[in-house]
Amino acid sequence: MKNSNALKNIKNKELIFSGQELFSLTIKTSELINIENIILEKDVRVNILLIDDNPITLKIIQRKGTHLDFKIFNKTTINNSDITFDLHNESELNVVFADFSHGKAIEKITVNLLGRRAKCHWWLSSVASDKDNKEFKVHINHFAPETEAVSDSYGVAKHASRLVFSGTSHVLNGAKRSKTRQNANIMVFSKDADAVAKPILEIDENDLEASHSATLGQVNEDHLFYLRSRGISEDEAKTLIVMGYLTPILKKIENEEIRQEIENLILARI
Amino acid sequence: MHKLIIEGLHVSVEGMEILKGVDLVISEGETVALLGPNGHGKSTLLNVIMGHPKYTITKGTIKVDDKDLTCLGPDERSLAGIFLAMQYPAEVPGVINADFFKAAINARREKPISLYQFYRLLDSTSKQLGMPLDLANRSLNEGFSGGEKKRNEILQMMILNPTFALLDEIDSGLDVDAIQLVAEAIRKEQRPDRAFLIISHYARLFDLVPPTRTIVMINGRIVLEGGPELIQRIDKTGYEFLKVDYGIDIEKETTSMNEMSIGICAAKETIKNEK
Repeated sequence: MKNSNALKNIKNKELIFSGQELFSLTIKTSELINIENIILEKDVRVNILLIDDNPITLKIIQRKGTHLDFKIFNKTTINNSDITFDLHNESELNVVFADFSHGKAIEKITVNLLGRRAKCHWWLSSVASDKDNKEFKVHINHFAPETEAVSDSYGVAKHASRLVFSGTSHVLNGAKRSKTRQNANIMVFSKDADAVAKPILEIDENDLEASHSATLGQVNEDHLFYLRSRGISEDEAKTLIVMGYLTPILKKIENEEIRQEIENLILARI
Repeated sequence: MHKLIIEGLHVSVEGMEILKGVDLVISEGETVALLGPNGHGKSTLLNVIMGHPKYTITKGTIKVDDKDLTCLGPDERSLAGIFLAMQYPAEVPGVINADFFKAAINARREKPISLYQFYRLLDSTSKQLGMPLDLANRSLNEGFSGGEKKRNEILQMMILNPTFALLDEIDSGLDVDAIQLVAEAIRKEQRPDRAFLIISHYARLFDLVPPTRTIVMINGRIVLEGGPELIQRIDKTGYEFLKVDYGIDIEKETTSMNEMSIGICAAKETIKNEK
């Protein structure tokens, strides 16, 4: 496994990965100032963990047969960011976004499934509290046949915060036998919190599978009753339920330190 | 001698009165069979005793000895010794069984239970009920069959040691072998210092777990009390005899809400258990 030495090989504002091995690295967003494009050459496999909250404008190009695990960990301030992923034939993208930041901003992510059998999976766990106003726009475009996308977003909105999950999954004409699924869930903790889910499907093709779902609301009353009926206090019951809601993201993060940090943050913020 | 005392209890849900003056005293050592046609308030009574927030008590009290539970939350009632094995146990995604059991156990302890003691307790209890070995790591009730969910309720009862165990149709959805298993577990849990209040529609369960007293609920009131022979009579001839022999009207007093059907996307959680 090669690591962040790769960052020293930047030419023309492009960071290029090529070769047969698995690249695994942690990048600080501040280091991305000099990078406009990240390119994964044919068949390469890369794991990137992005930390330290700075605004990002980035385009990532995945050539044929590449595999990218892209993890973003926001813990202090949210910024307006715009990230685009272009996926060519047979390439795969897993995005895992752990967001515990404060502030007001829009994070825009676009995934273009340009090549046949390109796949992506998006997972977001986000906590909004106090006066946070955060929007996550996730656009996934199916240009080619047999492309697949699954988008799962889980959020918690507390106090007087506002959390918006929006995004369009667009299946263009010709993207036959594609599959697209959007799932947006936000748990609301107070009357002053605002939760909005806008999952939109734009379908211009007949031969495909598409679905979307959105769940917005307070902690499920029956779940809360069940836990409390066993002697668990209301606060502890809510904590258990919300932990259960947000922690599936932990399984997707290999870095032990970061995983612990996220777990602590979830506990602190609930 | 501990007693669960319900006096003059009137309960409404969504503006409709379901319990219309229930008086009931259950003492330690009793096993009370609660019978009655569907929709007449049996399950409501058990859920109200446990403190489900969707029910409003408009009159009356629920007490354990001198302690008035009427305004207390379900967690406080649990600590006062009440346990409800639910008719439809909730599936709570992401909440791991082990964390859930530990939290419930620790709520009653001064010092948190040691990991070793906890796993020993969970292991031996779940073996008795034939529960799967990987139970501890799974999400609460998720992926459990109906029968497994019911056995998980009994498992929790065995771990939490309640004084008043309320069982809401614990045998529904169980096959013959599972009923045997559950009945044996209940029998083992019967003690002079514990009381059971059991709802069931099937005489079979009461053959295996003979009650000390039988009560019948019609239209939100307890209309008749008797011994185990009442169960046999109802099992053979239904509830008609109440009208004939006792002049008790068994027609439902109010029309129940129609079952709702919501067909568009989402609405996943709301359709269950509308009565």
